[in-house]
Amino acid sequence: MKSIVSSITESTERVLLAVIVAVLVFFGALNPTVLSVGHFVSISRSAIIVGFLALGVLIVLLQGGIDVSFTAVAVASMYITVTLFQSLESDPGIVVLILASVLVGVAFGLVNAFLIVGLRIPTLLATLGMLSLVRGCLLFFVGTKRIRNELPQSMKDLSRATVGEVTLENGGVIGIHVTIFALLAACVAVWAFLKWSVLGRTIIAIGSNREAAVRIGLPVKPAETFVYAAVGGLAGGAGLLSAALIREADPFSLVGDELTVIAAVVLGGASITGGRGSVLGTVLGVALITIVGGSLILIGVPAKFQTLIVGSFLLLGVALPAWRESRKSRLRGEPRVYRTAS
Amino acid sequence: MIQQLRKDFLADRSFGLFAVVVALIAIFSILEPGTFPTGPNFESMAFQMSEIGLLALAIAVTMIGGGIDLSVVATGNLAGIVAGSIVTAHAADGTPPGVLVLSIVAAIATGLVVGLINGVLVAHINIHPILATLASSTIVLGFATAVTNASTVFGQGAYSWLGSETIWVVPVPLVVVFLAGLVLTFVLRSSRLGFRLYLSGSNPIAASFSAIPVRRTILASYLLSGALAAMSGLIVLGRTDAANVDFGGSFVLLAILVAVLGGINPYGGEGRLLVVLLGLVAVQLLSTGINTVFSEQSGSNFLKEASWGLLLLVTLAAPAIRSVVSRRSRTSTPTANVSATETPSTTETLEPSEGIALRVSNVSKSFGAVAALTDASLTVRTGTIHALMGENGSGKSTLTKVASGVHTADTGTVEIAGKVLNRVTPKASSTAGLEVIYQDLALFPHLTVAENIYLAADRALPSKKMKWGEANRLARESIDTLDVEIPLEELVADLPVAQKQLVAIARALSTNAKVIIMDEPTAALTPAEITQLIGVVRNLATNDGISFVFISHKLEEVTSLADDVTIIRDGKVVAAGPCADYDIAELARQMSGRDISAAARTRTTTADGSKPVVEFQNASVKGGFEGVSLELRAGEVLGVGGPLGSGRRSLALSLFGLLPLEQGSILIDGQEFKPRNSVEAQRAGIALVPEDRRTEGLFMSRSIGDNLSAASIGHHDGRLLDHSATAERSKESIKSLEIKTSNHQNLITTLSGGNQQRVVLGKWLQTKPRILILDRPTVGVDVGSKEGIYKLVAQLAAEGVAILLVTDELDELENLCDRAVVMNSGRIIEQVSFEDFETTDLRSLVAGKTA
Repeated sequence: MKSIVSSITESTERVLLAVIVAVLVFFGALNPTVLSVGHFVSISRSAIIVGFLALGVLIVLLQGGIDVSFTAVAVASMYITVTLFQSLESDPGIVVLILASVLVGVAFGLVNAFLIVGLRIPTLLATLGMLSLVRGCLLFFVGTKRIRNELPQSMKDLSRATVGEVTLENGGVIGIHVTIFALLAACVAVWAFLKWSVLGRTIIAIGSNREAAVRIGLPVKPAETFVYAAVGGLAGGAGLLSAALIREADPFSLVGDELTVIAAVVLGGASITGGRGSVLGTVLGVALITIVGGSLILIGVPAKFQTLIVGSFLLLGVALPAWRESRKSRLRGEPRVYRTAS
Repeated sequence: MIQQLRKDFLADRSFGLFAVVVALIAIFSILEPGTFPTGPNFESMAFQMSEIGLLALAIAVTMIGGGIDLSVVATGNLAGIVAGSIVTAHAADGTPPGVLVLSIVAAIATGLVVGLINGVLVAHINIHPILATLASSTIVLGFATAVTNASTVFGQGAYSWLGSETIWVVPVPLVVVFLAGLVLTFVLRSSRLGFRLYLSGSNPIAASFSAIPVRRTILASYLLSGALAAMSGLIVLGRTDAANVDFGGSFVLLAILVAVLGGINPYGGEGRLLVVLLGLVAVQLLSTGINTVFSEQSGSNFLKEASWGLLLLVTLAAPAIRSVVSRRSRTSTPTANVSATETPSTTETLEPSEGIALRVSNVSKSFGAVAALTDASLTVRTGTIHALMGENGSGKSTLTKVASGVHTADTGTVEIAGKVLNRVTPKASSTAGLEVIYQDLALFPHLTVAENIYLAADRALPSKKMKWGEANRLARESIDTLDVEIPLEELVADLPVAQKQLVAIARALSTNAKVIIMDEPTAALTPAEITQLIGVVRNLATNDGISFVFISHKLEEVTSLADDVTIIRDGKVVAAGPCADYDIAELARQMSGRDISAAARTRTTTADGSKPVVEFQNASVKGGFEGVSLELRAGEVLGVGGPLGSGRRSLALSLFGLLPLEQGSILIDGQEFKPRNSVEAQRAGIALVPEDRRTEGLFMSRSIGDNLSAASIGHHDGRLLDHSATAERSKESIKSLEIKTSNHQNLITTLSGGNQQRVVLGKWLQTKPRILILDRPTVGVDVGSKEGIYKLVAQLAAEGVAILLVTDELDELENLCDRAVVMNSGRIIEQVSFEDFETTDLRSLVAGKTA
């Protein structure tokens, strides 16, 4: 028994999987609907945006940085793109819209990179500054209006692009949204990038020991610039998709959800000081948060308790790795001194 | 005191901030003369800034301790809701004063509870402060939402005295803020807690090793932060007469902005709260100014938000911009020097020579007015091992850095593998075949052995695709050259130090290095591992013609290992030639410039025959040692020898309270002693000079005086500090230990390694220890300082201090110790008393060669 427990607690991915199964069993016992295909299809929709954003956060955490500006970048890229094409009175199609939003996101990411790589501002503070700068400028200079009816038709169409319809318990019909497949493809792409490209390995090397990366002549600054540009691009794309999914371009949306995304990635085993983290862990972290957040109403938890419960899961998610680390250091016979957590 | 304040004012950010404040008032007064510089406007600013002021102080306090509290707004809201609910429940009675007091107490208690939770999460469960406080923030908001059902709680006017009254023209809440600022400034400046908070933020590990209750100190900073946040919640309740969960979303950013603008170091250990209040005034002027100028436009609040972000970024970018500007002006003047090294005439006169792997010729290098190297030369023959020796600060590392292109020499040339380099850059020297392996090895712990080797090789970078097969092949090749076994798929983090060192060598070989410079390569190795390393190196030198430069302090090792030696002193080469021409005494004399009789026992035993002071009885520590029994008497020097990993360090740490015993017991004066931390050990009169000076011993961002006082602050003073007495003690220590500095307020980084070690010793001597543990006290210390430390040990023993000396240097055991125990694999394998030293083969015992 003891060995089973320890073999599970050894890998973050296995712990997460066990927790997800436990949560499903528990919730399922309270309300079997939680385990229905329809429910999974319906909550999968809310995982899409978090998933894309989480991939960006994973990359930046692996490199040893942190980015809290990505929600503002997502919403600004989306809103700028939508307003731009609205003022041109054209609908170039969803692919062009997404690409445009990605490009705007990359531009914001490059500003972050300039601040962090070029001016060496601590990464939390730089992106915190950008969060309010980007959001403030967006709302002051671009606009504060929610755009619904005048949204490009191709975005409205995307929100209904589903496959494999399932009938829900309440008689409604829901399909798997196509962007779920885009997310899966993105996960595979990021995994392959991190595993099979020299740039990907360089990013992990930098997160592992930046000083060493500089000394052996790895292209540290270009790689870091790439990281922040990539996070910006992923955020830009996610921003446009999120507007398409809810059929509304809302300049007040997304900002404030940074923690949920970062927590999902940390829950997935990524270290906040760099070098450690995986796509699989991130996917599982997002899955856990989505399942808990999306099933509470079904098991009869009143809405007013939801933040509290999600918060508790977040706390567990950050406490568990910390606890495991300190247990490991105790087993190694390291002195019981306080050191800043990783 | 006044003088000190005036000095501080000019030294840090306060002067600049003061100028910003004046400029902002002037600018906005000119732009909006009718509305900005008016009494009511200033009054409303004064009211507005009070909410942020307390939040900024809260964040500043946690930042000084090396953390950050992102939950302050949530905590404030919850505290406001608690207070509002209490007064609302008694609104019918017109809120009697007792209820008001109760609501204040309840609100502050709420803040303290959240602070306690944050403190436990950060200090005890060891969660990263950003994550811990973000999570607790969500929970606090979630809790508040659940309690209020997301509705607004009203203050029933009970707090209007706090929110909208003024004392003369000063708003009551602002008075609260400034009082809080003053009180906290006093606490941080003049209390033991404040002193410890700065040190814990500067280096938490060294703080733990200095008998500072780090966890409790950090927890206290979160308690303070929680209480301040709660007070800000009450002020909000007073100003708006309402409290809800949605209030002040952007205030966290604003509070961080104010703290950082006020000069708080976001990495911890530095900053002053009064300057934060000046930052507060600046931010408020900017916000109100923008609102006044753009009052006609809707959404001026958003512009304000943007301006905060911009201001934060500009503040943080300022040092980088300043350094770029100063670098420009510096590089633009001495172009003559650069061209001097590049002139073909100087380089071509030197014929590339056969059989020379590295030749550094007539190099001079100055940093400012200090000449680090004067006309220094180094010649390394192909296929040889060369020892580069010198005391700390002698110029060895500058010479290395000139050869590898990290520093550009003022004059002189570098020739690598027969090629004279025109411009010595890190890239050029590496391409020519020179690799430097620094003490930290510069490996990537989260990557595999194969990757570590492959990424450094020139073959990896041009390609975009990570070729795992090629990586493994290349790594296998390099490691095979070393003739050792290292698993390629293993993460480097999981390897022992000795194998990491070999990986670093393999990596250097994979870049086709001809010359490998190794900085103190044996410092972290056990004697057995050193033998292996030397075997590998010798083999590569003889068979593959690779040359090695060992930078070393260990005289014995050098004479037995190296072919040639170069000794450098005060930036000049004082001796160079084949090792065979020098003996140990001669090397020591050349390095220090004076005569030192290194190998003579000078002390006679002073051990007190009475009862032992320390006893280990069949003691065990998990992963450390097993069944250890030993005794230590007053006035005795007990040596603990043995290879790395033998349990010698764990033994020291367990006595110092940093490793709990699993079995057995430790007795002090015959009483069972179970220390839970170093604080309790210090209280029992125990002191520990740790092995790793930089991370465990010193606070690099603090002054010499602060470092000297770190451990004794709890010993001499009560909760309040006596600054003049502390300074007096620092001066005494500097004098008695002959620390070379002009002022105890100088930064510790201005000292050389040997002097820094004296500071660590001085820190502990200030506690007047009865039991002194020295863990390899002379590692990385120059010969002169070594001698000083030996004298000190003898003197302390004569005064009756019981000394436990952990060492792997044979002459330390033989010359200093009354008795020696030798450990191996966690057990004591030999106990030898001074009389039997000569007849025992201590050398091989310490080296870990079990019979």
